Amino acid sequence: MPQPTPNTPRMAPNGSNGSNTSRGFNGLLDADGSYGARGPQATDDGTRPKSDKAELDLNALYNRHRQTERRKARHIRIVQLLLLVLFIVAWQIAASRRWIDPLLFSTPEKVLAQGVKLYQEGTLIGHIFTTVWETSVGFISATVLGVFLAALLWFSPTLSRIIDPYIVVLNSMPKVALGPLFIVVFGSGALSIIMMAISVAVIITTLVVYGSFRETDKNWIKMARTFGASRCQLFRTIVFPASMPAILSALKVNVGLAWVGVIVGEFLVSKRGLGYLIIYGFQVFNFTLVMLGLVLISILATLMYQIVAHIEKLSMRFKM
Amino acid sequence: MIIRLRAVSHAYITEKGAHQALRDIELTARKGEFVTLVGTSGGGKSTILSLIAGLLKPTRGTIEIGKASGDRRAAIGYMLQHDYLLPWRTILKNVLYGLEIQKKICPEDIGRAHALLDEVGLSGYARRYPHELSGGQRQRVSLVRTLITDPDILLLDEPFSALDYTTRLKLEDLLFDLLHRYQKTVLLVTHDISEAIALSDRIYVLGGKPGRIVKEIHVPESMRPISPLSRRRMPAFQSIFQEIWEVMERHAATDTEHAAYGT
Repeated sequence: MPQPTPNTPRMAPNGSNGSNTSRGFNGLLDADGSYGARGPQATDDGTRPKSDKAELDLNALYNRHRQTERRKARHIRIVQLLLLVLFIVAWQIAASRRWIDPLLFSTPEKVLAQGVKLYQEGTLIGHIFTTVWETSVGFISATVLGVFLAALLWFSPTLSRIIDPYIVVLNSMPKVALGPLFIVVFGSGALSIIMMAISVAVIITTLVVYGSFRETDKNWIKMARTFGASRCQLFRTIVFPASMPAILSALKVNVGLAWVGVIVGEFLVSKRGLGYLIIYGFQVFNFTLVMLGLVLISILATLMYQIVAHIEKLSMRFKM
Repeated sequence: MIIRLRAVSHAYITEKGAHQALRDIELTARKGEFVTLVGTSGGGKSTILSLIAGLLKPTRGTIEIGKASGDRRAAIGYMLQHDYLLPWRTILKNVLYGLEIQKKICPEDIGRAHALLDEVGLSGYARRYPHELSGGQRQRVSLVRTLITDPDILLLDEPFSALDYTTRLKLEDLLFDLLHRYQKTVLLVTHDISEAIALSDRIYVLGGKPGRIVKEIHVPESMRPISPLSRRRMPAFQSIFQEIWEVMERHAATDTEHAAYGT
C-alpha cells in the first residue's frame, strides 16, 4: 500500500535538524507523487538557516500524527470485524451444539443457504426492492411533509398555538395503532404501508423542524430586517437555510422510523417485502426465513442510514 | 435635517410588565453629518437606532426622515454590533445579501461588490466562507454589505465593540475615510467616549434611566477633517473627553429609577 505520508524525514539526508519551509514544501509535493523523482536533490541547502537552533519540522510532525491516527482507526476497524465474526461463529457453534434451539434461532449456515435459495428462485430481489422502495418513499415524504407543516406553523404563530395540544396528542400516540384504519382507507397494498411509514415519522419531524425554525438566531433575523426583509424572504434566506442541519438530521432519524412503519405495515397487509418474509416464516414455522429477514433488514437499514448520513456530510461543508 | 426625533419616548412591553427605555429624546442630524450617541450599556442607545430604522414604533413622539434627493425618502443602512454574516453563504453572497432582499441583483452589483471588498482590503476573499475570516475582516464584510445598498443614512450600533483594540483603531480610520468620501450621514452609537470624539462632528450624551439626552457637544470645526487616529493625539481631545466623562458620571450618580412595572 503506498504511504504518502512519511517522506519528509527521508528527504533530509544530510541534515537531520533544521528542515526549513522550502524543504517542507518539497516534501508535500513529493507526497503528491508528482515530484517524487526529484528526491533529495530538491532540498535547497542555500536557504537553510545557519544557526544551530533546529526548527520544528512541522510536516514530519503532522505526518506522524496522521499516521498514528490512521493506525488507531485501522485497529478499531479490525476489532469491529472480529466481533462480527465472533458473533457468527458463536451462533453457529451454539446452534450446532444445541446450546440454543436451532429450530428457533436457526444457524448462519442455514440463513445463508435460505438466502441463496430465495435468490435462485428469483424472489429475494423482489422482496428487498419492495421494502427498500416503500421505506425510501416513506422517509422522504415524511420529511418533506414534516418540513412543510413546520413552515406552515412558522408562518402562522396563531395557528401553531391553536393546534399545539392536538400535535402533542398525535405525537404521544403510537402511530402503528392506526394500521387497521389505514388499511380500510388506503386498501391493503403499498399505499397503506407507505402511509404507515409517513405517519410514524411526520409528527416528530414537524416538531423538531418547527423547533429549529423558531430557534433561528434572532440576530440574523434582525440583520435581515434591517434590509427590509419580508416574512417570506426571512423564511427563504434565513430561517430555512439555518435549519438545514436540523432537517438533514431529521431525515436521518426518519430512515429508522420509516423502517418501523414499513415492517409493521408489511406484517399487516403485504404479500411481498421483508416484513412479509418474516411474518410468513413465522406462520409456517420457518425461523430460518425469519432470521434471514432480520439480517437483511439490519444490513439494508444500516446502508440506507449511511447513505443519508453521507449526503448530510456532503451538504454541510460550511461551519455553522 | 435628514433625521429629526421630536419628544420620542419608548417603552418595552413584556410579560413581566412595561419598562420605559427612552424619555423625550430630541435629536437631529444634518445631511453629511457624523453624529454620535454616547452612553452606558443598557441606556437605550440601540433602541434609538431601532426606532430610526423602523424596526420599532415609538410609543410617543415622532421620527422624521428627510428627503435624500428630489422626492426620494432617504434610505437607511443599519450596521449591527456583530457581523451576523450567514455561514452558509460565501463572502460575496453575504455582501450581496442586502441588495438581494431589496431588489434583483444585476451584474454591475457583483462588480461593485468586488470593488468595495478591494477598498476595505479584502480582495480575494469573495469566494471564502465567513468562518475563514477574522473578526475584523468579518466586520469589514458587514460594512460592505451595508454600504453596497447605498444608504443615505448609516446607523452604526457599536460596530467595533467586539473587536480587539488595534483592529478597532484601524477600522475607525477606514470607516471615517469611506464615509467622508461617500458623503453619508452617520448616527453612531457607542459606550466608548474616545471613539465618539475620534469619529464625530457632534456628540449626544445619553444618561439616566429611562435614557434621555443630557448633553450635546460640538466637536470643534478644526478637528472635524482630521482622521480618528490623529484626533486622539490632539490636546482638545482630552478636554472633550473630560467634559463627557463628568456628565456621564453625574448622571450615573443621580440615577433615578423611572421604570414603571405593572399591568
